[in-house]
Amino acid sequence: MTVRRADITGAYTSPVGRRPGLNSLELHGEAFLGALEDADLAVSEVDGLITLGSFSMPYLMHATAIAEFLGLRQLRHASSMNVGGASAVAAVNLAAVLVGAGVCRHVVVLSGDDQLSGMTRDLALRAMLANRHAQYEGPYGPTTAAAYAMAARRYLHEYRLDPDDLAWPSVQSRAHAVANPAAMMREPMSVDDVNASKPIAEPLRMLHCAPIADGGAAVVIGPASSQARGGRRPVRVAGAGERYENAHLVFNRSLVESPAAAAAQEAYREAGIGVDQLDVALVYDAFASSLAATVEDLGLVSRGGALKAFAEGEFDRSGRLPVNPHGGLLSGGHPGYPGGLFHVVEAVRQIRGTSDVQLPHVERAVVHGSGGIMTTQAVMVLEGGDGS
Amino acid sequence: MTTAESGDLPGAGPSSDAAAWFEGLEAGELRVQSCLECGRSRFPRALLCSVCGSERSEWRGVPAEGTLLSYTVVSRAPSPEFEPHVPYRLALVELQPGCTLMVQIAGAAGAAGELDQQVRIEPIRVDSGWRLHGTLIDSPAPRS
Repeated sequence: MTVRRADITGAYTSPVGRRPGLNSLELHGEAFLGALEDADLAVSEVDGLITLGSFSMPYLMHATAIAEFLGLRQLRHASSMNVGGASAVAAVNLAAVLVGAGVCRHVVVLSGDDQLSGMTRDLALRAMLANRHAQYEGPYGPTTAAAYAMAARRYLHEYRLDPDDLAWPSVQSRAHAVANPAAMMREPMSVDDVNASKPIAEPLRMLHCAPIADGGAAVVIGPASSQARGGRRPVRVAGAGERYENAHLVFNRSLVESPAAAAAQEAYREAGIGVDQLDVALVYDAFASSLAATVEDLGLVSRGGALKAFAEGEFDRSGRLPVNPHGGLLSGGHPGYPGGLFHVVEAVRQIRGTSDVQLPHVERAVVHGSGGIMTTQAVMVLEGGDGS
Repeated sequence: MTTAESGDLPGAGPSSDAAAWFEGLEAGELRVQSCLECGRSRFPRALLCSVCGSERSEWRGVPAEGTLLSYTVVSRAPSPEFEPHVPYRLALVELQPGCTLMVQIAGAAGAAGELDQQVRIEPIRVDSGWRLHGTLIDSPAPRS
């Protein structure tokens, strides 16, 4: 049925936080070696590389520049995905197609960036301005947070919600992160803490936003049903869906509903499942407000019901459907492009049964990434094999 | 905010892909694309109608007034040129369905605007081109 006859055979995340002395290249290198070791794969077996770009070292031919740094000379495919926060999931989806079609045998999806330690003021500025339209947005001084803030205000307005309740997705993420030794932010946090934090762009405050970090991550995609190396349970790419509408906010069809809904329906259909068959959801969460809107798009809760569901613990690790049991980007830390891969890696670990914050009985996970102002959307369903 | 103060803020100049928009501003008019097949409006410019796929369109003047879709208050400037102006109110205004503008809205940055309120749009010529200036109109629009 699926063209994606492929497994995720290796998964690695570097330590996240402040990593002075390691630049973007070195963070790529660290994650590459980590994922290969996890996959029990020799460097010579890698014949595909997809990178996600870098804010601090933006090479024109990014994947090829990373390949030359790694010393890879045998690649049949090298490309860089360029769809913002959807890039990680989109790259894994593409890697699964490449492997399923026989173009490549082992593709590494790789990202590393030092946004916290390595950005000069000029580069940080460029990153902040990167996604605004020069003619229709730039002259008015928007920031990324301001764009998401406007979407958040519309969301609250449409469903007549209390702005104070926007804190709940952040509070839930933190409750999960407290138990995760790898998370960047682990101090317990209350709704009042969030609502007392510094305003960034109303209604968004500091603790509604994922903290900038340094870090890297990688996954390896190989042939399906390849014997699980190193005794790992195989993790299959069971379904995928993507939608791309626009890059700039003034082109958004909606500030509330995103094309994640269509992408998710396609992924569930390809996997042959309904949302009630999911055991965990890994949802891109640069902002508390976008996380709330997205769990609705993914069909995990009814429209307008996300904040209440977070408040009532439906997405807690012991709730109806755990969302981001590792703490997500909101509390785990957000290094930019590698951040999207963290969700993939956590899903793989949950299905293998090897997560630091392991949930009982995980067979299936939905993994989501989003960019633009929620207008580039990539979704996939991962499923555990029988391990035979 | 007076026109002179606005002059300190950046504007946008014409480019070949958006010539009709800037010609409209020169003529004191906001013009959007109108699909000649299905009649839907769109802005900013796109080659094809995203609903019916038609390439056939014309630019039509529309009333310089729209609906406040949303707004925020920017307290931290994204670049030095905006630093003297913080905090400022940034807004999205829907001129017609399918036609959204980003503008700054004058007035106290803290003053709450009601979403769906009407906003008057005024093009202002500045050193680096054109910028749009938004003013809240008192009467809220009827909800459609």
